[in-house]
Amino acid sequence: MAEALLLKTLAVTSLAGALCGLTGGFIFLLNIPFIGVLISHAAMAGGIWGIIAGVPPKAAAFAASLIAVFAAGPVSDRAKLNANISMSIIFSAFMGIAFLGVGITGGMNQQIMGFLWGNVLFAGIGDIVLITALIILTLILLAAKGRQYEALLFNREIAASLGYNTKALYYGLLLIIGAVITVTLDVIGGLMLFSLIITPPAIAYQLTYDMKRFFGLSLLAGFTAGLGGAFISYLLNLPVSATTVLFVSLLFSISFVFSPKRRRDGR
Amino acid sequence: MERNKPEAAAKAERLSFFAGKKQVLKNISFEVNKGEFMAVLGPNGAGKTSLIKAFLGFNRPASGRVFVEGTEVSPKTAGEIRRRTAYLPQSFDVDRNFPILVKDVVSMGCGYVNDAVVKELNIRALLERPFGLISGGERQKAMLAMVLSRNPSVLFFDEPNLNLDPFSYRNFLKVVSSVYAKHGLTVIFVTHLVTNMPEACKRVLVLKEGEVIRDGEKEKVMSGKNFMEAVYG
Repeated sequence: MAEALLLKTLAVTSLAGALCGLTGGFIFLLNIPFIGVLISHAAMAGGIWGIIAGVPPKAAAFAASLIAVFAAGPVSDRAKLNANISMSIIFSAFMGIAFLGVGITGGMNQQIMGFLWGNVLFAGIGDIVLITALIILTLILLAAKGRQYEALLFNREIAASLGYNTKALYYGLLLIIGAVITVTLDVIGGLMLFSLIITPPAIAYQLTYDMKRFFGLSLLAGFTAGLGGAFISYLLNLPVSATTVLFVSLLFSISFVFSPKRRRDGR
Repeated sequence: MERNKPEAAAKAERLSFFAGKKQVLKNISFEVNKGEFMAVLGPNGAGKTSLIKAFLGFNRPASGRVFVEGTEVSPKTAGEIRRRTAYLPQSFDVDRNFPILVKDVVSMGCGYVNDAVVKELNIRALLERPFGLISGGERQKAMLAMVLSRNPSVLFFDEPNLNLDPFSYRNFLKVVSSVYAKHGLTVIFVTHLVTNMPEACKRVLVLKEGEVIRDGEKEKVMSGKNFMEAVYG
């Protein structure tokens, strides 16, 4: 029984890590790290109001995260603001909505806390299937539109001048990021999620100049972080979020030490 | 989609454009014939980049119309026009550690590394190198390879000198002239440098404060009385 639980936990955290590493690669290269914070808190607000309204919290969380990302893009474009600033503004609004909901429900209950800290032990086969499906979907997208996404990440104006529909590519990406964060949020929680979205691509960035390898390494680093963090948690009987975040930070330190880019720049 | 007369590769018809409240282009009209190499010359803020961006559909005219090879530029046609033309922007920031190789930049537009173009621009040795680590001149060549690989009919350059030292820029101009001669493209070349004009350029259109103040053969326009004062004064 304990072994089955361990195996399931390892599967969930490693797959979630791989998925976060893969989609985190886009977030990292687009330089929009705040999107992780925005979507996770928007999803929390949606989940809380889903509980209040009696609709499935996960569906409400997904809807709220979509509203958040699709509001952030136009606010950034039209108000000529840096994307991270526009996301911060919308983040604040969703925090207000979330705490309003917390006030109405009479405080933070376990379900609400789950959006913040996750509950990997209660993840089911459905979560594993969803996460795996999202990994496959993202890989298909990369295979089908890889060249266009490469151009978008390289330079948006150049991508547009090549005739690529940068708006559709960008918003398609935001849709996937929204789905990834919503699906993984109540499984692994906001803290681990943010760490697994940002640190694996930062590790990959230290190690390669090749974009395909960058995404491959980012996925691998996320997978390793999820697997290693959960295993250390089991061995030492410590909280899985904490061990995973610390383990991925250790991986980053190692990549930093051995980074060919750092050595080339003489840092 | 309105068709214009077929011989014009690019045409502006009473074009005006505003950036915010400032009128950047003021009711300008001109045509560029197919196969022509035309420089758009003018001081900073003359409206040169805005003009190019109007042809690519990035800037929507406040009034007037623009055409590329007979097709009126509009939000509907912009994508298709961009696919058959090519644009080299004036400069863009790429982190020197950004994970992209030269071969990936070269193949960005068409999906493969075009061997003939790579040979023509002599950049084979660069292909496996990180784009962020090559020199400004090498970057411009890689970008030129990227757009030429798509076999465009009209090529827009926007101040390609900006990140180049004078020596690299002179070399780049030679490459541009040779590419023009070989491919028979229409080239619209924006610059503010009077001293270093591409050899292949035969026509110069001078923009100042959003208006066309001179347009004609390069030698005639540039040797005109008080030319420098008229342009930069």
